[in-house]
Amino acid sequence: MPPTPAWPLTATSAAASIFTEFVVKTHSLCNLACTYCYVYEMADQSWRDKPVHISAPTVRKVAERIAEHAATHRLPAIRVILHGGEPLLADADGIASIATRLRDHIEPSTELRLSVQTNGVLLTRTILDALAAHRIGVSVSIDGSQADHDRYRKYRNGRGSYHAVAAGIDLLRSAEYRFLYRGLISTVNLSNHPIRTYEALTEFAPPRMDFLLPHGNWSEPPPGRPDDATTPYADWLREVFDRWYGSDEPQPEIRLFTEIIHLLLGGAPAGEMIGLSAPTVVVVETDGTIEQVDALKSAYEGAAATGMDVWRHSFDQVADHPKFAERKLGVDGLSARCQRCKIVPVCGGGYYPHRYRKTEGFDNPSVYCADLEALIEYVRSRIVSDLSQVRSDA
Amino acid sequence: MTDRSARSDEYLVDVSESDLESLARDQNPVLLRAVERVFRETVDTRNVTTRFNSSI
Repeated sequence: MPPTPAWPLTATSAAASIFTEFVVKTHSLCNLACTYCYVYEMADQSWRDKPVHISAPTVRKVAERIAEHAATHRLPAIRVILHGGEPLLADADGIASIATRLRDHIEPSTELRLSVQTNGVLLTRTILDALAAHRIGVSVSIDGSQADHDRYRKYRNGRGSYHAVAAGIDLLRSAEYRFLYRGLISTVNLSNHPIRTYEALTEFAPPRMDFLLPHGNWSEPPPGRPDDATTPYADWLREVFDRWYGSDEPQPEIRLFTEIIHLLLGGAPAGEMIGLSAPTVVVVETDGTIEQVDALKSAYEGAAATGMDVWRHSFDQVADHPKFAERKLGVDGLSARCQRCKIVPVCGGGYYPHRYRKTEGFDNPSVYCADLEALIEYVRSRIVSDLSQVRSDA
Repeated sequence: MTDRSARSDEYLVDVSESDLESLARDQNPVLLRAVERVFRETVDTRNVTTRFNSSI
């Protein structure tokens, strides 16, 4: 177990932390067995101790706590993402019940933007009708073409899930349900050709998509990410960027790239994956326990745990927990190496879970440091070049 | 990886409102949208709405 920061951090060193995104686990199990899953296949195995379903009283309490937090901070809007495991295992009636309770308690205080992050295999008409009735946006995980997707995203019997996912997405993007379609999320896999992956995803006409770096850290490196200055992930993403940025045809938004550009232009970070941002995301498990961002489960057993829960603690109290507090320090909370780096206004030190090493905890750059540097430098060079061109033409 | 000797906001790319017109003429939709977004954005951390604009 790595060292934990002393309690409490000084108020002068800690910026206010307001949660605006609440990940609520509706179901702790999953109907797929993806080989790289941080919930089931990595260091933390706490899912085994969680209730399978979130109960009605727990949903009610979660909703009360979120409403309390929104009212305290006068938030005009907050986001709740139904998650898991596979959240749609809660079935249509379960999803409807959860959504109703959340809206009843939260919407008097603030606008609720409700969505679900799903593996896509349960996107039937029955489920989509329930999602539509309760205005729940849908984002689907898919890793590219059938061959590439099925290599890692499989059922427990080893069969690939692509056909079911593709059918679900096709139904989602039909005229009847398209208003629910938020986008696609794909985990970068160096074995998959980047352009083939990108083209496979754009065939589903998503309004937006994102590419996630597979979870790993210095002690458990991501696949194909050696401890050296090579940049395999940047090289992969650069190919997609060139295709996307240079296209004459309208392309879906790719969040990773738009956020890098936004940060390069001096914009504020919109999430925790990149950029210097205080924690804005908090997770509630099926039993009401409150945790940090889920991807921390890739670091060590209990890495995401806070020991707090919705029954005994407000979200303001959670924000004061040392594990959240140490992430509110901005640049001062980063490693010495990051503090000296010119890229840090954009990368923000990289995604927090990716900084872990058994010996130093999270006081490191991201395990993807070389890739982030290369990718950000490349994107910067493109936009500087383009801006120079348009200015000289003006 | 090479350490940098100094971290600086000079690394960020300055844009001006005149860039908006130029980018619109140049038909660079990605960069145009990006510059528009930066100008729309408020610095106020309580203005959470703008943070959702590009989130899935």
